Amino acid sequence: MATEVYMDTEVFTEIVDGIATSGYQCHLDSSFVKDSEKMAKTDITDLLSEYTSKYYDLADNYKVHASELLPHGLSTIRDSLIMQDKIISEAID
Amino acid sequence: MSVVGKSKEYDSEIVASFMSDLFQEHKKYQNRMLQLECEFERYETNDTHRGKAAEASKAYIREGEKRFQYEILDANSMLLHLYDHMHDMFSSKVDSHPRAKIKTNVLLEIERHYKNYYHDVKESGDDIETRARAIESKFGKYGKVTIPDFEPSKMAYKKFCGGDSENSGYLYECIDKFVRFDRNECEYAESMQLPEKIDELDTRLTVSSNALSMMHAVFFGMKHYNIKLASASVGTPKYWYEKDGFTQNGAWEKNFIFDHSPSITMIPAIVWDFRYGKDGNYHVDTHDNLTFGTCWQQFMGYMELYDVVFDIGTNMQSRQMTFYYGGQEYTIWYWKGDYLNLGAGGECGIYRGSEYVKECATNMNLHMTIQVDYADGTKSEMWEDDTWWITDFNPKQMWYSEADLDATSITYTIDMSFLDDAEWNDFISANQRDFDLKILDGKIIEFSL
Repeated sequence: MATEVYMDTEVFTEIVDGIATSGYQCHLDSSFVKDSEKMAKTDITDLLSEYTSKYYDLADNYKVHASELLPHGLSTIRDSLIMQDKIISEAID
Repeated sequence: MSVVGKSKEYDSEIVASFMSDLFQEHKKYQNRMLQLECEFERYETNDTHRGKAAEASKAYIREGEKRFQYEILDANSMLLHLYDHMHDMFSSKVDSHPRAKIKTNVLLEIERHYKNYYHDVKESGDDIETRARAIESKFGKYGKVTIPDFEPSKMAYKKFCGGDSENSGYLYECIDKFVRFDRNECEYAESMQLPEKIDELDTRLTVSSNALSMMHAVFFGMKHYNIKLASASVGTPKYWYEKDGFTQNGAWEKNFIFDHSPSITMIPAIVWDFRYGKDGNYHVDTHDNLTFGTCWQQFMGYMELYDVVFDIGTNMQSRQMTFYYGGQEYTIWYWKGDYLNLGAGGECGIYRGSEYVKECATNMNLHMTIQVDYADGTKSEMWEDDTWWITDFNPKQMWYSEADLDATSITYTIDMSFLDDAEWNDFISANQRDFDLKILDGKIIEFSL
């Protein structure tokens, strides 16, 4: 069991910001979904267009997850520690 | 020709060009994901973040987030593979020319025309041959009469357009190869179950995203109890911190009113899904009609990261043991802790799945009991319920230290009689020693924390 508790909040924030920025860049150009529909007229290309569209929706959701929700969750850990520190310090004086 | 149905078209050059652009874009996407993975690596190797919370959140990044990435990229590879496979199969089964083009409606139109030519040749040829034979029989004695032979022409037309047959000829074979290629590729693509994989991944991502978005910082005080409600753990009762809210006394008054006034208890009950035991302890209500027989936690699932934030604000201990039912992995996850305004106590939930983020096993309705022996020597009344999540929190036992928690013991029982003998034996042999399981009666287990 770890007994040590330490966080350099500046480093932590920089890393979490890095995750948010990189997560935001994880996007796919959606014009390919439309182009895939025009590519050919076969059942397999229709099916692949459907799969492509579904995959792009997943990629969009992942982008929001990685760029907003995950950084929010990680920042919550930092903020909990900061607030804890603040409240305890106020209680001491 | 009935094999075609609606008209189909394929242009190798256009498909190759589209795929080249698509693959280039996806290569960029994979590189961007690699960049994100580097950031995850930085998080994991950050030695300026240490402690239990640090280790657990790093484990979440490693086992939760990296796995999402891996699976998303895996689905990406599978999608690109299907495009590749389609193009390769067109080349090997239909037409290998890099600029091959095929349009079934054009081929069918050509076939229709050639069948007409064939019939013209056949009728005219037969007529000419008949006449030639008549001439030969009448005037053959005067010299040689050559009978014209239209059979080679008819055979050539037959080979090309099938003649009288509906299902033969070069044009039919071209169309048939194309149709079979299309059908086989659909079967191959469907056998890969990519949409099912994407759906399953998307569901887990949504559960995780919802859970992350629900996380709130924990507040608890030492002198100034600025808490009305506070907890970041999704698997535990929610509290709300009110920035300009109640003082210690105000909070108590509110809690007192909440505890004793039936007129207002309904509102928190709706939000929390809690009800009281005879001893005044709080118990989660997974059957409450006001919340449509649900509790909101079930939509979130549970993962170890919540325990991290729970543990930052207060003291808690937890353990997990797994069992298999119907081929599916389940976890019995149980806690004891200081649940702030709800008081000290514990809970036990059943979770489904082997992933880092587990779903609440709302399909389970198990007879469960919980009883708490507090640090001060008192004991709660045994609470029992048919549920997937049972709790017992005592608002009179508050602000437990780690030593208080060590001196507290919680006994849980679960009726596992839904397991078949093989599942039960596997469960017992895997867990009995480590978790000091007692078998009470049949398949009812008792364990403590």
